[in-house]
Amino acid sequence: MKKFKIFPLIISASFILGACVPTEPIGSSSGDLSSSEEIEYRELASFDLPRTIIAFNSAVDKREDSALINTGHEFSQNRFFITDNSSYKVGDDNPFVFLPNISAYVGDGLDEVTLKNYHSIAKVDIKESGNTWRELTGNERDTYVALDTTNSTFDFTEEAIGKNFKLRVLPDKEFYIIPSTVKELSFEVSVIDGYNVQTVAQLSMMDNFSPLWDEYKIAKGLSTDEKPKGIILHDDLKITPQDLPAGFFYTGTDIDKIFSQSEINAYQGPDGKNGRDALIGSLKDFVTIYTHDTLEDETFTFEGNFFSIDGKDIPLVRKFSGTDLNEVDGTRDSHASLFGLPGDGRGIMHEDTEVPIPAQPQTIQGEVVMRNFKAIGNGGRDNQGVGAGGVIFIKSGAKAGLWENIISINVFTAFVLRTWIGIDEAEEAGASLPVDHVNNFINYCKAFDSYSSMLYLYGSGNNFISNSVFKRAGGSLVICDEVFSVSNYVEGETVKRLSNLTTTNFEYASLVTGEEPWFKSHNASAQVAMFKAMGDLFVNPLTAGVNPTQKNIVQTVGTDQLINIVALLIRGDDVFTNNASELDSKISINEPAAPIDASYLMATPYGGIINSQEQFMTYQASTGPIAFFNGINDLNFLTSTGLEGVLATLQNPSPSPDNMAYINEFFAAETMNVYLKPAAGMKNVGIVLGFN
Amino acid sequence: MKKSVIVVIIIVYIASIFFVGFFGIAVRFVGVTTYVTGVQCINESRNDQTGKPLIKVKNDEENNITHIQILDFMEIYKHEGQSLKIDWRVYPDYATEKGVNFEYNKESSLAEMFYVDEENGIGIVQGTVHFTEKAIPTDGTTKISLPEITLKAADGLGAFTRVKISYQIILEEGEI
Repeated sequence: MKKFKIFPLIISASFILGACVPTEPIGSSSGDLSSSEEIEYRELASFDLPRTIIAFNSAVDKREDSALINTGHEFSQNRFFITDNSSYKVGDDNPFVFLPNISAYVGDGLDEVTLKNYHSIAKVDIKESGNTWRELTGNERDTYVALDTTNSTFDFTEEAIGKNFKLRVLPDKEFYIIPSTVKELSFEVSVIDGYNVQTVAQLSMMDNFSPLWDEYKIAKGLSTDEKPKGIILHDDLKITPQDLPAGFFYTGTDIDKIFSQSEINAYQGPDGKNGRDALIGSLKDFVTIYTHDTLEDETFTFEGNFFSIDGKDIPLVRKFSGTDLNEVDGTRDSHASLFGLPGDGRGIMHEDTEVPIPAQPQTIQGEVVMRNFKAIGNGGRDNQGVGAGGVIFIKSGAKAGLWENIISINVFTAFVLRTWIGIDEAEEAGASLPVDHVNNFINYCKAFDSYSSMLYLYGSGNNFISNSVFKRAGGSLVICDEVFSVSNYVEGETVKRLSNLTTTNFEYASLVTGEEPWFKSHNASAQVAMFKAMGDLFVNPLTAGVNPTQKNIVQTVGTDQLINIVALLIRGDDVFTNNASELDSKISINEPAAPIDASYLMATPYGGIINSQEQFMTYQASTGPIAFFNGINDLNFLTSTGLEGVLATLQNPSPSPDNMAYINEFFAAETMNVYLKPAAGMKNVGIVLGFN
Repeated sequence: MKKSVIVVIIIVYIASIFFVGFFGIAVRFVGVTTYVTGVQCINESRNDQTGKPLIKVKNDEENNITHIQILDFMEIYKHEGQSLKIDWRVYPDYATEKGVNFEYNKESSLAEMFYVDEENGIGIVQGTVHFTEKAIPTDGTTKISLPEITLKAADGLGAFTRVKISYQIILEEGEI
């Protein structure tokens, strides 16, 4: 058999196996064509689509239909939703590597070696009107794309943005014996403005904010000046501490500076790692790993191509801001995040990271689009409190955000959406800026297993969830936190930043006992127990005909009594115990006819029944007045006060026909809204509980 | 009920007491998911009935891929039901969802040569690669390297391994 000399191929010492899957980026020294090593191969063994493209095709094929939401369908954590945005995106900022999975036989047996580059015949077609394809040649091809037929890269130009191309490759028979089974490979791509990320090192190009990344970028041969407006993933990426700047973590010197030796020795991590060794290398609170600060009128785009970012090896936060090192009863919440899209940088970085915090708010920032990827965090729901040190997946202060077809697994909180900016400046200019000028859209997203909530709204204006599934938060599934702060410019004025939420076609399930670490650290277990005690009102015993489907806010699983806390409307982070004079936000969970509307509560005379407000019902309980209604329509079937009154009504042996109808209409709802107004001067809270 | 059945039940019951006492039972919490952290192909090399090497398995742990070489494909094709079992384990054993999904290029011309069935058993799970009539090319090709198959944990946390099957066709006189 004729032998061909193939010069560029590098094989590792594990030649005995004959199969080396590339683990380093193309262009790394081990795959460099300038290597002097020469290997003779007899023939190619296989020629297949790149592993990453096969994974993309598989992800597209396996997508799920959002029409199945709330039908009992068990949604996969591994499958994205079907949307009309599933083309493979490629950026124009740097070459896109399209290296087929190509192997050659070694020797006469079946042993193979995987090639890191090869001689190819490459062609590019452009999609024209009528969905026809035309091959590009000569100068016209150069206008759109530059080819490297050995490293198998396609470097698109700005002119290619917005256009669709078909890449076609085949091994060059001048260099190889090609089995009859090898056919031309082709793949369609859409070109957008952005940077192609094929390695975890390249993901650092997203960060245009933290100087801590500069040294890392230089070490990896990446530009510190280039500021991509988009990031496009082309592989599953796993983040390890070695892939992050050292400044994100505590060193021994840091620890000795901050804590006494006795404190260090006494430290006990919830994961069983204790003392000094556990603290060294832990993530500093408030660190945001990848930050992209959008400029005014700029839209930052993050296209995931259905790949994943695996952050489970990111070290936990162990020193929580505002708490002592060994404080176990205080609020233990990580503020660190994987992705940050800051408004003005406040709350994104911490002084511990030695990154300067902007002194004054900047102008209203741009918009953010993140779609089609999965994030795996280092936290998640657990019963020991390990997840308290996990990272938040996305923290955004952009003026508008579209979060589409994203899967979040095992994070502290999936989405923290907030606003800081613009309002102060508008006040200074004398403008009357609406408090709800921020809009966030969460479409076709899935979130599973978080330590705290899945979505935390912090004065983030109008927020919408649609066609999405959130399951298994360690606390309330959603928290709508109003932000009231003193104006910097008008003395005595309060700036109100609402956290409105509207959901449609939203499946939610976060069954908790109330004893989870998040509830304990927020001193909320007793309140959850109080809500759970209300479960008896619904079933024990009932008048014939009342609540015929035995709906309840409490579900019993084994020996556990569980409650589905869908949303909390609060002000401040102590959940149930802060002072607050007023709440104005609205929460509508799949039932727009009657959102939980705190303004009703605010308009209510404290401590009394509010027959004048028929939007909801209120009771005088031993802990203070509580009002609730079913979220569908106006009900007012109770005539007595207190929880005892509720019980009396439900157990009334002969309720009037009107009352019976009202009561059963109540139980036809998907959720039950509760307004809690514990006592004068205490915090007002709105709660949405899910019926079983 | 037969006496033997009762005896077996008693033995299993007593054995389970010792088993649990010795090994314990993994602690689980309400609503807490235990994710798959690893998938491993556990096929082993083996010989045919005459003692001649038939399957050669090479695990490349560094690159997370297992190469399964069928040294005499006709033996598999004629005497082993035109199929090959792929065995794997997921870790930890008490993972909440142990399912595995297969990914390979179904558009490849080589994909006409085989298809994969996934079978979930107790403890160990298996998949079977069934070879079609097109697995034996008629153009004289004697070595085939099939598309790489990725076994990816279905729970979404990303654990996976890969399997690459190649085979050699040794035709006897008179065979196509």
